[in-house]
Amino acid sequence: MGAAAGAFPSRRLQPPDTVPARDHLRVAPDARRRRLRARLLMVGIAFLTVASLFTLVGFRVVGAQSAFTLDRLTKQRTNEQLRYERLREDVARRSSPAAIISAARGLGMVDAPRQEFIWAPKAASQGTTPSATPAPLAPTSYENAKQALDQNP
Amino acid sequence: MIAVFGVLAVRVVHLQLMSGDYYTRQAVLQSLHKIPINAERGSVFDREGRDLALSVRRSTVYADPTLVVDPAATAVKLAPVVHVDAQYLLKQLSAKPSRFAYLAHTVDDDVAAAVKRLNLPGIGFVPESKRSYPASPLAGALIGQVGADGGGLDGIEYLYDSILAGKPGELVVEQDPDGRDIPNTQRTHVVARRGTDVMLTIDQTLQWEAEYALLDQVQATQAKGGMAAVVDVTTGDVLAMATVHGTTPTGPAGVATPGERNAPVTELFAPGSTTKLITLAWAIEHGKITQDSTFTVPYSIKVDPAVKPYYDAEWHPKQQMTTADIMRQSSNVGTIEIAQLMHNQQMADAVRAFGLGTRTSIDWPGQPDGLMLPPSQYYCCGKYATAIGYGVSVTGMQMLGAFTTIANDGVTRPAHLLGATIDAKGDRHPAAVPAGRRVVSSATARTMTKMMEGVVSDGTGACAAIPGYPVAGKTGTSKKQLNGAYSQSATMASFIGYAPSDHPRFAAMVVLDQPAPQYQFGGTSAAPAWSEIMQFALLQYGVAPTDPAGEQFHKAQAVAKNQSCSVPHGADLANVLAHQRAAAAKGSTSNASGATASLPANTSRRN
Repeated sequence: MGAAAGAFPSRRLQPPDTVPARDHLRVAPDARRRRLRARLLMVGIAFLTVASLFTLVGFRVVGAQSAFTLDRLTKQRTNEQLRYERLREDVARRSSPAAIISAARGLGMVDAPRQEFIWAPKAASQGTTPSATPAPLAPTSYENAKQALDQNP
Repeated sequence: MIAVFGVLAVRVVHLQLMSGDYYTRQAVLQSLHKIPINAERGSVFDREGRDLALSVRRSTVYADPTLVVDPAATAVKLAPVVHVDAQYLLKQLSAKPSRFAYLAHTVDDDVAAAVKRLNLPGIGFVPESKRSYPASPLAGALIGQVGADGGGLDGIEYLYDSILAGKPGELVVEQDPDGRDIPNTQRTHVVARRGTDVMLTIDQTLQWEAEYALLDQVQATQAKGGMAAVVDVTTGDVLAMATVHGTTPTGPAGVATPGERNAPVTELFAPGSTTKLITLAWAIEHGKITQDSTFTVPYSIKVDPAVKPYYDAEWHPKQQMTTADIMRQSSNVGTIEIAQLMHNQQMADAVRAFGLGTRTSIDWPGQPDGLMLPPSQYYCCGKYATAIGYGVSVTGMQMLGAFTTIANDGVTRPAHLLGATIDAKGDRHPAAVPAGRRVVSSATARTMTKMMEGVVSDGTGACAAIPGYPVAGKTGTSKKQLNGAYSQSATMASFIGYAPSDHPRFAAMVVLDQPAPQYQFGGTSAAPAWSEIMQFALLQYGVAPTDPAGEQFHKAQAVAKNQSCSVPHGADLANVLAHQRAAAAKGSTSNASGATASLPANTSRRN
């Protein structure tokens, strides 16, 4: 029985052979990939550095150009302001009474020796002859004129 | 040794810990430098927004004496170009070791261009603001002028200096002992704030007319001077304010220039018969008389045995006169008879109520209150003298104010010169207008207007009549106060009134100072100029005629047929302007010099 039991494979599941633990070992990374990654990183950093430098330089250039533009515009504004002042003074001088009289004299104009009033006849209703004599103004006409003058004398 | 170190240690502690803040402040103060930035001065406009005064940047010529190669030669070349004395230039060009010396301030553009063409070493330009008066010599005494520092000296420039001047800015920088800016140190920039613009109520065109109509008449009557003003009765706006001086041994007659007095608000004179308006209005208002009250009026009246009698201007027999007749004929005796019905206090109240003895609402520098006797000092005759315009001294604007009150239906209409201010943002702020107060009733005002219409249509003021418009006004002829007494020959001739009298729009005043004896009366000397100025104003503003038939005008023409009622129009404007330019060249009116318009040499204002 005992021999028979020993001759036949055991029905019981035999535990696998135990492998001794080798914790000090691990899978070595792929050296080629590692080098490639480092290289890419270096390139990226270099690119970023260069790009940053170029950006900074670009900003600097744009800033300098803007300063020039600002300076040019400031000068232009000053010149235009000066021109405006000159023109304004010139207009004021030319439109002064003395200048107008001088210009009128130059054109041969003279003062009227006296002023004549021309009175428009009062509007006649249909079928009547307009009055030949000047009619006095209606009492309200002055008030109307006065109101208009008060608003825009 | 220990003691020495001990002392030093104490000193260091004292300096660092106890006095550190003080010395830090001192160091900062020594290194900080303030660079002032001038504010641009505001402009002065007329009521239509036309420039009367503005600031324009011009080039100022300077020299760096350390860079000038040959000062003498440079001075000789520059002198005729910049119109500055060569000796002065040489002194400035030789001012070593200074690196900055002014040569000519605010030169014109063509002068600056000429200097640049010379291409002289050490000569440069800096921008500097210059006050320009483009309508000059218009309203010179009214607008005034600014000094070398840009501050107002007189006139409007002085009156509104605080708002015209603006607020200067400053740049604060830290500099080393050699005056170089220290980088990255404290720096403060306070922006200068431009001055506020001032818009006057003056009308440039009407101002011109007032000035030159007055100038013509001053010359024609050989007066020592004259003043005129026009006020809008409906608003109190002063539309024109003119001062003219007559011919003097040193020059021809001309419009007052900057620096001269603005007579309508500064010069006192005895108003004479124009005061009768006040006397009669007060007597009517207080029920002493009516328009139709009758008086027996002799040629003279003696109010006190100790004093000389009062006379009328022309002899006449004893006659019956109504109040209207007394006004129309400007009877001194009749007015004194009316004054006899009033108490002393009433007479004093009358002149006070109409604004005499009190400065006008125009806040003009140096404006006098006027002189008036208090009732306690009337004694025998003060009341009567006051009633006919003696014993009081007034300004032209005060008297014009009295007439404006009547024109405004018995309510004062305070005159004002400032229409509005315009701030740096361009916002317009209308000036506050003082409220009026009632002095006499509407009925009294209407009665006075009617009586003053009679003065023009059938009285002493016939020369003031205007075709198409009824006029109300009063003549005045008073003895001039000279050396503390009334002159026997010199007079102040005036006419004050308003038109159209049925719907008053404008009130005006013309006063001639000491016209020649043949022109001594206000009715024949001042009234014609008044008429011309008023007619111009009415037409300029398109006021509708209210007397199309010319009823008053034709009556007045008949009365005045023996009088010369026209302004002679003899002023030679070219000579006047030439004289003013000459004065400007001497420096007395430097700010007004550049703006005079050139007229043909042989023309006058009118033919």
